[in-house]
Amino acid sequence: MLELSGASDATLIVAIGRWNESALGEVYRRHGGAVHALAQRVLGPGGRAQDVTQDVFVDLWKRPERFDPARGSLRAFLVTVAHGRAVDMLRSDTARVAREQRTARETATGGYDLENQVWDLALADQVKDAVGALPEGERRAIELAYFGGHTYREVATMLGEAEGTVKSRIRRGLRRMRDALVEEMGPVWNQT
Amino acid sequence: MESDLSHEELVGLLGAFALDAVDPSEAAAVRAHLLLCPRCRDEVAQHQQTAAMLASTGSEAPTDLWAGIASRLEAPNTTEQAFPRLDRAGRTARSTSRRRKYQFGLRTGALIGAAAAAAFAVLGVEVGRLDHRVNQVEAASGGQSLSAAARSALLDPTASRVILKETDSGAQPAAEVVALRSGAAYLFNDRLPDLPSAETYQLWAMIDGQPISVGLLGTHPSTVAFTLDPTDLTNAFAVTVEPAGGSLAPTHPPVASTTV
Ligand SMILES: [Zn+2]
Repeated sequence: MLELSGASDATLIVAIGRWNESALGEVYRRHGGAVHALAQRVLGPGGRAQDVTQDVFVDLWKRPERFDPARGSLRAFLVTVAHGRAVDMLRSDTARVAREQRTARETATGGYDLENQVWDLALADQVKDAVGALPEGERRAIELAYFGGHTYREVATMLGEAEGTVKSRIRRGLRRMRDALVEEMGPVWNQT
Repeated sequence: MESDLSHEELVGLLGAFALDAVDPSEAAAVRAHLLLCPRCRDEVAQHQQTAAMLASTGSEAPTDLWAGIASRLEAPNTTEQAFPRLDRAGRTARSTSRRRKYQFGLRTGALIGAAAAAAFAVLGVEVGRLDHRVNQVEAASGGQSLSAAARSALLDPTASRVILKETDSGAQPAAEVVALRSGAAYLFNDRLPDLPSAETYQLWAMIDGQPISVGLLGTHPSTVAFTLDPTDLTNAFAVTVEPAGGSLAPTHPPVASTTV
């Protein structure tokens, strides 16, 4: 019988491909917290974040082959799927009005208190360090795009920057973070 | 959709794309480009992994959400429809007939066809050799772990597969053999319970009505790799419980087999 608690994520995915519910349960136990935290960060607490979390795992049940272990960890895959769904939900018609109000509010307050509001997550120290080492412009652009669910164009408007500037800051910031993480944690930095 | 964006413009969007922070038309253009450009594909995957690190790593999965997930899990409930994901290609008449031509077989060394009936003398040798071959398969997969190799076998539409059912009352699916054209094959255990250490599961191929040992599966098989030879055709298998170390011929009726 499959020993679930000691099984690798890849083994669990095979078992899910064979309709093993316990294997999905184990994947949920391992990664459901990260998925839900991200959904909540983007959508706020409540039913929508819960819906996204549940959808992500039902999706994995239906199509486990979409996860390619060669392209990164299972957790990164699940979080990426969750982010896409959360942002879709934010941008749906019913949410648009609330979102426009939120955008206006964020613009009015001149951005976030970065240290306290956005990065105050249960992040690994190495990730906190990598984030902390980012130039402020890059950090703010990534934060508003990733956690705020804004497009780079919206971020540019909010910050009063050129669109091209924001676009390249996001890309450069992500690269910088990755380099810092690889340097601190080695090549296995993304294997958790 | 053919985009008007240059490669440089597309590359400039990759960071924002990875954060789902581009407009729908840009997202479509990037997606179309990623199908063709491995380098950009890698970059997006890296950005996504980096962004995923920002998701909280420490929090527990909320237990109250699991019931809602579990209630939405559908699985096939008849034996015939078991593992439809794996059977997808085999559902049409055309590919079924193609599959029938390729019945996978079992390498039995000197034992071929009718000769098997009188060949018990060499079965002991076969058990040893086949066990050795099991090890070779695992070694041959190189950096790829057994589970990764088995996973890709499961997803291979050209693989042949047979289900072994329990021989007792329920005739539930107990295990499945998946074989690739290369001869690499995997047994996936679904329901065979753990055995005491004095016993072992042993897998047999039925050739001309005779059981030929494929190898020992151990006391608690999950996924087992072995090698088959397409020149010896069989798709009939049986699993028995034998004393630890295995047997030359089955000493008990099968606990699972392809024919109930
Ligand atoms: Zn490219």
